[in-house]
Amino acid sequence: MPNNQRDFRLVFGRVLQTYGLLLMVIVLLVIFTFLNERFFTLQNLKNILEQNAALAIVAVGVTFSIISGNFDLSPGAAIALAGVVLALVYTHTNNMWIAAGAALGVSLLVGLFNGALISYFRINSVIVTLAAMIWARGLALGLTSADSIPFQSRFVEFMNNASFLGVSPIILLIILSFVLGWFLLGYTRLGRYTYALGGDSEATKQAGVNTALYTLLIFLISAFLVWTGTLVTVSRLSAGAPNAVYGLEFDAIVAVIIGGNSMTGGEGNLGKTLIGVLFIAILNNGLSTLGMRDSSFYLYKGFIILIALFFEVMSRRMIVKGQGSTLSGNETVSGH
Amino acid sequence: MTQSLQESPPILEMTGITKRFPGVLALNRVNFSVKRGEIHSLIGQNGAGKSTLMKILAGVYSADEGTICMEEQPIHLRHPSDSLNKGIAIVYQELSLLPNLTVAQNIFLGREPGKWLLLDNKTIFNRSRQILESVGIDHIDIHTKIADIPLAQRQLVEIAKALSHNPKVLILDEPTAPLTGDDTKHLFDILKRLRSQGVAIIFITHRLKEVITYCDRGTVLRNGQTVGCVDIHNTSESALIEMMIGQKLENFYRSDTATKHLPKQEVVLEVQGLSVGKKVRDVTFQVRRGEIIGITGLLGAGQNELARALFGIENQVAGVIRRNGKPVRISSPSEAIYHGICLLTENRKEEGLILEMSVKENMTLPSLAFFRLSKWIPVVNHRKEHSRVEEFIRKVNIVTRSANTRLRTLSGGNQQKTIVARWLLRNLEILLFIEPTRGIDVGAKAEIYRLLSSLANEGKSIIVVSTDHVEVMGISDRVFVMYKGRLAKIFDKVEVSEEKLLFEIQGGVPHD
Repeated sequence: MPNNQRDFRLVFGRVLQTYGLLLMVIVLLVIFTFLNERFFTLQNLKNILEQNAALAIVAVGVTFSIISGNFDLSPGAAIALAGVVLALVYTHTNNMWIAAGAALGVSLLVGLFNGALISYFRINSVIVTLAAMIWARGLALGLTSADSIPFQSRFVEFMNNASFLGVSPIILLIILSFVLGWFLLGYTRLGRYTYALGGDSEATKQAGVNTALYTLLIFLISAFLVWTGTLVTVSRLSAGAPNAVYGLEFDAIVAVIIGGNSMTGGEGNLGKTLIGVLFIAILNNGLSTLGMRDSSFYLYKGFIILIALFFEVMSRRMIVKGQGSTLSGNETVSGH
Repeated sequence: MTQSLQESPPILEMTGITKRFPGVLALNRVNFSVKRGEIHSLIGQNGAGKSTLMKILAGVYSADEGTICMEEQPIHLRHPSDSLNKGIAIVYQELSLLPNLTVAQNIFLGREPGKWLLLDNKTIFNRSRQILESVGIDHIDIHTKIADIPLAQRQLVEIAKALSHNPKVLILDEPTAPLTGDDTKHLFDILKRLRSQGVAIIFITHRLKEVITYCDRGTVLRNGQTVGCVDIHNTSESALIEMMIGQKLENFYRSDTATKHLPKQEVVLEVQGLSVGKKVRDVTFQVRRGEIIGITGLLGAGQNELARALFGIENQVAGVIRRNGKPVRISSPSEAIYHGICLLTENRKEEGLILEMSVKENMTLPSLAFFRLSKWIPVVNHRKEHSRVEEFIRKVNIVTRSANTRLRTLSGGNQQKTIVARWLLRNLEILLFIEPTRGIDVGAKAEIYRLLSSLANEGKSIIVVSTDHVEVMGISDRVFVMYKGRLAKIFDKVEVSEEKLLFEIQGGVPHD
């Protein structure tokens, strides 16, 4: 009798873990469609993706850092800083290549700085990137005296208006980022070691892996994606704004976690991240198209995230309890 | 065979190895040598220097003095990769496998074939399969995550990983500690095959039975010195123990007269008709002040559930428990502790030790309320706390630099003693132990025996559950035998013998 119950828990838990959030995404879509007739239109769905493109792209990098057992709280501020640098360089040189190159340099420098402190100086990633979140934002504000720097360029025009078989460059960049991440995670040493580091960094080191180097590389990948996110962000704003994408890093972390990636690292994949991103993106768009003001927007958003997390945690517990049945045959003394 | 073994020169010889750590002489001119095609056990208590010696071989530490020769050539091992290149591979006690990666991914972790960043998964899979087959463990699916395969198989994967380096010398640091009998046998089948291929195997264990059964020669270390090298075929378990601890283990057993001076009749705990689901059926017994009761039986005969029920962590418990004559209800650990009963299991993490905190903090965690400045000021009186802790460190003989030392740095035996001290601080009267000496070495075992005996002499009542029937016989005043959930037999110390005990453990049927 208890075995049946456990098997049920195991199966139900697995189903809930695999499809639970997808179901919640569908539920959200249905609710918002019901509340707002203009929500479920092709135009708005495209809009949802483009509005949250930076989030989606950054979430790929955040997935890397979380699988490796680290946290990265800096992407939002790094995007603001790189965006401001891009706008400043562009308004001075009028050359988008140089401007984008400068933004790439800044992104990589922030990643290098964070990564080096975390890997070679062994400082906790939460602290390092929390500090970066603060100082990068400060630097962005300082460089611009807290003003936005608007600019016009063919590049911005291209990003917002071009279309490849009906897909805009911004959406294309999302797709490319996920493909890049998926390839790196699944088919390269870097990917293998990302999982290994999150599983047990000490054991990985004993296996002869240069763990510091690979930790650094993970933060550089993240930095590259920050740069990609910067291109998207400045294009949509047509400006470099020091207070752009506030809280993006938290949305990205929440997306990765409610997608079902393990918070302690070692496991996860980008499919989960993608669903998590869709959830947050739909939530952001749906709530704001309902015309909510900040206060109620954040209140609803927070609670709906909690509900999603609740199902995620439930499914995990069910699986753990269900797995008890496979262990009970062993001679283990204690049955916790 | 044995003749040629003795004549062949050693493949590896360590001479006069000395290693100092700050304040400690870990190895003092140790000599050690192994030959091609033998299983050589390295025997000694924790702290005897076994691991240090092997870490020197593995290139983790370098020796301060002494020479290492491989095939009669002096070699220098400065880095783990030096050792691997010379053909020395080690399997550490803490498994180094990553639970979240697959078998194949683990075997090649850190040296994946492939160009640049790209992985050559095909080669990884094929080579992994080959390696597993070559050691006869082809029943493991190389695509399973390590977390999803049993511990015994993980051990085999770890060995396969070491063998993928084609070592001439294979070092195994306590590989059998987590294994059951069958798995151990399987492991040795593999080791024997390697032996016949000419690999020299160094085997570290504290299970002397395995040494006697499977090994060819053994070197005994004590306090960082070589006590001797023996031919296992001409020695016995008790002779090895004597070499290890310098005296006989029996000296630490409980003497028949230990409790004579105590009023034996005072019953402190009475169990009547106790059942736990179908695992324990209708068990009735009494526990007197100052006695040690040993409960033994086959694995799963209900002895663990019985002890756990008395601590309130089993469901479906029926029956009556009386404490000092009064019926009590024990359905949670806090109620058990309230009634003066505590349980210590072999799983030290589960017992609530916090390894990152100090010995003192761990000891006083459940009794901090007793150290308040005054009745009305709920602030910890550190001086009082400290002096009590010092008192109990001396009393149970915890080897630690100070009360403020982190628990993580203590040996398993001393961590175990810290928990005992924790409950003694609460002045609990009935101490339940499940397998208190499983996984600890002979020296620490002797310490635990001495501690149990002295606690009983002070008037504590102790129940020890153990599947080691020799241990139970040695340390108990009364021996209970459980069989299929029932209390099958109660022996007094004077009437018990190994034959009678084994007979009852098997359910009272004759056995060979």
